[in-house]
Amino acid sequence: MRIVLVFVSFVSLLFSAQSSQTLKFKQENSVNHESDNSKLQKSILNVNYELNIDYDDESRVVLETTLELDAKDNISPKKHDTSSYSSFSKPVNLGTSGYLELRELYFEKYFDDTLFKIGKMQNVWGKADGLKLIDKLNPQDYSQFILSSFEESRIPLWSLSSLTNFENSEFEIIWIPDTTYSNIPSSDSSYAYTTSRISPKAPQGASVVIQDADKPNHILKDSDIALKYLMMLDNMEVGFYYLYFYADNPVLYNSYDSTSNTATITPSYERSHFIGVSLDYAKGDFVYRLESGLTFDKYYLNNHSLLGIGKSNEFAYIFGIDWYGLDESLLSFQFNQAYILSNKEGYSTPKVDNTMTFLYKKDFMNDTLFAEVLMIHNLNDNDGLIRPKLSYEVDAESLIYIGLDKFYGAKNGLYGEFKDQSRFTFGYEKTF
Amino acid sequence: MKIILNTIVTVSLASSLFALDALEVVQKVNEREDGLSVVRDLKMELIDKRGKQRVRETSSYRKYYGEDKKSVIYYKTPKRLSGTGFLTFDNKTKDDEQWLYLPSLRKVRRVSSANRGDWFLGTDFSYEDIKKETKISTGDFDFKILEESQENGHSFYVLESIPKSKAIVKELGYSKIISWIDKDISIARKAVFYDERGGLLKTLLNQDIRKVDDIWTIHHLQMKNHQNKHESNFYFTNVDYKKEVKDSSFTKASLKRRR
Repeated sequence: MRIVLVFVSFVSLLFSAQSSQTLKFKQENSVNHESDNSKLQKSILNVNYELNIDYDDESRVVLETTLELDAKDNISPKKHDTSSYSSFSKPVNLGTSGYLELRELYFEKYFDDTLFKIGKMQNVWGKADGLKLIDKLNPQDYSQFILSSFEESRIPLWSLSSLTNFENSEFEIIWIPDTTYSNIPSSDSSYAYTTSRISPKAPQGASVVIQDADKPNHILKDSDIALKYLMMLDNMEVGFYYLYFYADNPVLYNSYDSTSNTATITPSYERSHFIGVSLDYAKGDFVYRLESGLTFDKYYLNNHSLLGIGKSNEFAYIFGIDWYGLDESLLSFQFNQAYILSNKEGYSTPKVDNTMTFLYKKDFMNDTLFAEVLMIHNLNDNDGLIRPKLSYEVDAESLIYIGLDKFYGAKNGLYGEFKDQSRFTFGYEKTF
Repeated sequence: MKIILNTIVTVSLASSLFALDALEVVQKVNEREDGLSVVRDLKMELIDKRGKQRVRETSSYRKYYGEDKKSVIYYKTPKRLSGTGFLTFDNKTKDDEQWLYLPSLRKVRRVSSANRGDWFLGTDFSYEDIKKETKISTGDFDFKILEESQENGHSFYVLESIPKSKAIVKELGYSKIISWIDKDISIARKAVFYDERGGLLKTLLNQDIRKVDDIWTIHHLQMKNHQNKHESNFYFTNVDYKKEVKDSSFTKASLKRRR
């Protein structure tokens, strides 16, 4: 009876408001072209449903769900390992090659100049392409490293936020009680990390025991909090950020017992503070962007330290230039540096880590044909990823696309380690 | 010698008087009432040279702040693009500011406002055409009245607008615009655009012009590109100059919310 009442209330609410729905089907295939026998990595059907209910008082309910089925589950045999998710955020696994996920469900409403949001949502800060510095609020699903779009791989969290608009500025505060963290692919998956930057190395012949992660799970004590203040100074947008958060990637404490010849890895999540500044300035054909920040107590693999882990503050920045000087085009360059500020030695990550990116986008034929190339290159390891993509709008609601994800460089680099996983991808999207 | 001097003086005087008349016509166009604010829906019908048609439906808000203007446009259909938003601040005393919100990225991206000659969202209108909303930039062009004419019961000034510099030609993509300005309502009913090399580029027809809230309003704009044979038809509906447009409609937070 109670269920019927809830349903009736929901339906009556629906009819007292304006609603819009979007149903998107995506069929995407990826073929690995680096191995001796080119094989189909994945052949997925992704169905995304979005419902927006708008009320006259400017409040809104948003619901988004995703169903994905993979006919060729060759990427990660233990797909959707949900151990890093909180119990109320987990997707529902459908066998071994599919899942159903509640992507978003939130209610938002203005009270004077303040917008309150409550529910499961994505909170995206920062403006960098292909790199994340300030965009730390939501964890990522790395089951395909960074090949899935940030939108698809970003893991939404149950949160509460308030955003207040002033005349030339805005202030946002977000409370995230959801203790879900990034999905790191298991060691037997195609995109498992092997680089010594991230993955501890056991002595040859040693057996490796990976213990269950020591994961925070208290919704109050272990919650994250984030503050943002954005202001316009003439033609420049300036942002200030503060986060008190658990890093989304676990710290891999590791030890070796020579008597049993066993290496033990104990994943654990650690808290950090982050303060950041962003600048955004447009002049002529150019837009200049800067994101910078100081992370306190960031954890790295360090073979000189106890349990193989060293702690340091880290300063990092991303400087970007977008050039709109060519017809219907965007040419963008970014330079990212991250400094380990500790004087200690033995870190597996370079003390100054340098990455640059290039992005070129061009629209043809009255925005029906789209070409883009994204290149990410690490200057320390001389490795990277090149991603050309061509998309064509068949009709207003249909898109076909083909792309290449080409990793290159040393096998021990963050990108070069996936050299054998380079792939062609082609797909079709239809929206209703 | 005296005759030659007299002729030069007469021609110079006539030219300057003629230029003044042209400027007055332009000023009348620019001073035409178009409401402190407006809310409206826009259907964009795009037709390629093979006759294939694509339709985009949007809703938009615009509001004046003294001589500055803020506007925002949201895609409603196609659903693939639904939620895409474009926020523009047209500033009198500093560079314009523009932001684009792409739901697929969930990010509000600052974009350059210098791309005045680029095509607006795949249509045959340029960003500058959209921004000016049938008004004419006195800073970019020199003007001349070519003739006065009559057609279909309307009286026109035939106005020639020539960019003041090669840089402006390159920026706008136009070397010349000929406009037929209706004398009674100070709206161009037709305009012909020439590309950077002087070739015929496109023709604009402003149709279905009628009063809404006592303001002359164009309800159908047809732009035909003669070079790629592409055509764009803009249909404005639900035009409302009286509905309150809140200042909060022009924030980046609202851009994400599509309202």
